[in-house]
Amino acid sequence: MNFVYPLVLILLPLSLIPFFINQTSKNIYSWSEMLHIDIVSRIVSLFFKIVSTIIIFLIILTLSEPYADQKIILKKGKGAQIGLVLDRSASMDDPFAGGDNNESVGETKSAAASRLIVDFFDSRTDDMVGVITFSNSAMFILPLTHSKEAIKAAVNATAGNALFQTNIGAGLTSSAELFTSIENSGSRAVILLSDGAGRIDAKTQQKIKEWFDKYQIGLYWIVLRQPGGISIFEEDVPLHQDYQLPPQVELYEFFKTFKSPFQAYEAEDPKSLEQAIKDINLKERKPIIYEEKVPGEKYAPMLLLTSLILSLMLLFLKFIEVKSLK
Amino acid sequence: MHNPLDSFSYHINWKSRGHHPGQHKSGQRGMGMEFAGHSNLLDYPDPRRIDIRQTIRDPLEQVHVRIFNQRSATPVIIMTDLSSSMGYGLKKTKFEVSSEIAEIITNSVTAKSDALGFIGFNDKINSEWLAPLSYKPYRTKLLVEKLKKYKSKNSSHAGLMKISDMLAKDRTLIFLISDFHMPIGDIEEALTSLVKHQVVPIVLWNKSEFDNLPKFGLLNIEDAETGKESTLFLREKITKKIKADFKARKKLLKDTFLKYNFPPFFVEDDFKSLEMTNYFNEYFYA
Repeated sequence: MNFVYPLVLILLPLSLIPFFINQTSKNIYSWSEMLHIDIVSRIVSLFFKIVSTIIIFLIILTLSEPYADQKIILKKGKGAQIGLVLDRSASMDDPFAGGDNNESVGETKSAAASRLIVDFFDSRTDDMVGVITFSNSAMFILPLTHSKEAIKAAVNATAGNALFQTNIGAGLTSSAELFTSIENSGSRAVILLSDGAGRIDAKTQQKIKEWFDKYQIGLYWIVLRQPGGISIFEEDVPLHQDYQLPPQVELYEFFKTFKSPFQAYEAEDPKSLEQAIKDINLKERKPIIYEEKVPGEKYAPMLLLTSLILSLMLLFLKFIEVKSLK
Repeated sequence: MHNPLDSFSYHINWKSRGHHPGQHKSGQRGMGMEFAGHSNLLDYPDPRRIDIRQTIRDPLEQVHVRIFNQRSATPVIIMTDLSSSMGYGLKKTKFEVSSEIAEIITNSVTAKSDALGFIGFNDKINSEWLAPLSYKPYRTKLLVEKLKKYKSKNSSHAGLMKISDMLAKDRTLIFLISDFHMPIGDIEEALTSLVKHQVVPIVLWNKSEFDNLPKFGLLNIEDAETGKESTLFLREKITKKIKADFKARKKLLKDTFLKYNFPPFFVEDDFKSLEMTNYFNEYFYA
């Protein structure tokens, strides 16, 4: 039991007032020894005092607003622990590469992504989702949680003005961190949503690989392809001038070396993005046991109601009180 | 209805020892009608009362004089209870009623030209509430008037036990006005100390104390003298019991007073002076 205003409890001794102060409505009687005070009368008078004491006690308790501890409930469901890593680089605000040519202005990539992701989580019930966004560095938005509202708000918040860089390495390391302090439910995945890619240095690559392996995190990579961009699935990619593979392809090759499951999707328009998300939806359906925090119950209304009922009872007794002798 | 000029007729059934001429039988020799005996003219030199027949019959030829007892005044004291329980009353407090009764007594006593005094008592006897015996009872009248508006709180009746110290040695007619809401032991102690006087206990009760109690309900009461609070859950059973208790109390009071030969006079609604006259005719036969 906790109290919002524990200081009010100082007033609790006041509840004994009915035992000390005199009754206000009373008749002066010449010699009360002549009146036979029977056991019923004694009980009624004691009952009066006790009930008034309880009423004052309850009102003071109500004022202090007691509430129960929050409870943690284990729940079973179907779903996964999903870390959502969203690209927030400025290029996400561009329209899709493909898309409907009929429409003069296509949906931006970030807007489509957040819309589809929100739909995705709407259709799933028991997922735990954490959200990381990244541009030039990772931004920790939301720890793994069940709260759909929080997830939606976090995803919606990603659609907005952003910087130009794409630091995938930071995003992935942060996403691995989401899982460090939580029990493995048997199904863990990171959905990485980005357009293009950046290079990750060897040290970070090593770290990412180790962590994804250690925490058994599957990786889904949804690449939103830029118009005229290189497909990651393309074979015989022409090398850059400095004899390097394009970053997307290099990243793809790196992800393929993961021991944990990896799947890449390439989306050119909202439809293919939807397709990719549906695919993930089907794959990540395993029983999950998760904890849900239930906020502590507030006792004040109940206490107030009880004191109200008791007061009504006293009021009733007041009605049958004899106002004065005739 | 209270009539401030009301009075009743009273008499005493003993011989007053007062010198002051009055209307009661007396042991004092003087200008009365009651023949007391003969005496020698030399011993009682009143030539108006020479008894010629007795003088002729005397072989020793002494002159005889008839002696008569005069009628004398007798001292009367009004004692009123000033304890808080007398503050009870719905339309009129018992103080007001006792003041009215005291007023009627004052009228009656002045009409009989007796000496009248007043003593009010509560926890103790305060000189403020003391009027000495007098044939012109102005102070008594003043105190009777003051009694009408008297208010009292948390005072009891302890002074009653010491009240005999305030009285003269002569046998006095005492009107003791009280509700007698006190332990029987205390009443007996007081009466024992007053036994050489003649007490007329006037028991002031109010019908609302026991008769018209509501049939059902909760009654919070505070004792007038002790301030003790209690709650009474009135039911038919309880009201009947209270009525019966008061009836028993009345009987107990009557028995107690009669033990001392002081028949009580109960006043429940109004004081009726005719009933008081009847009371004297019934109990104080000459």
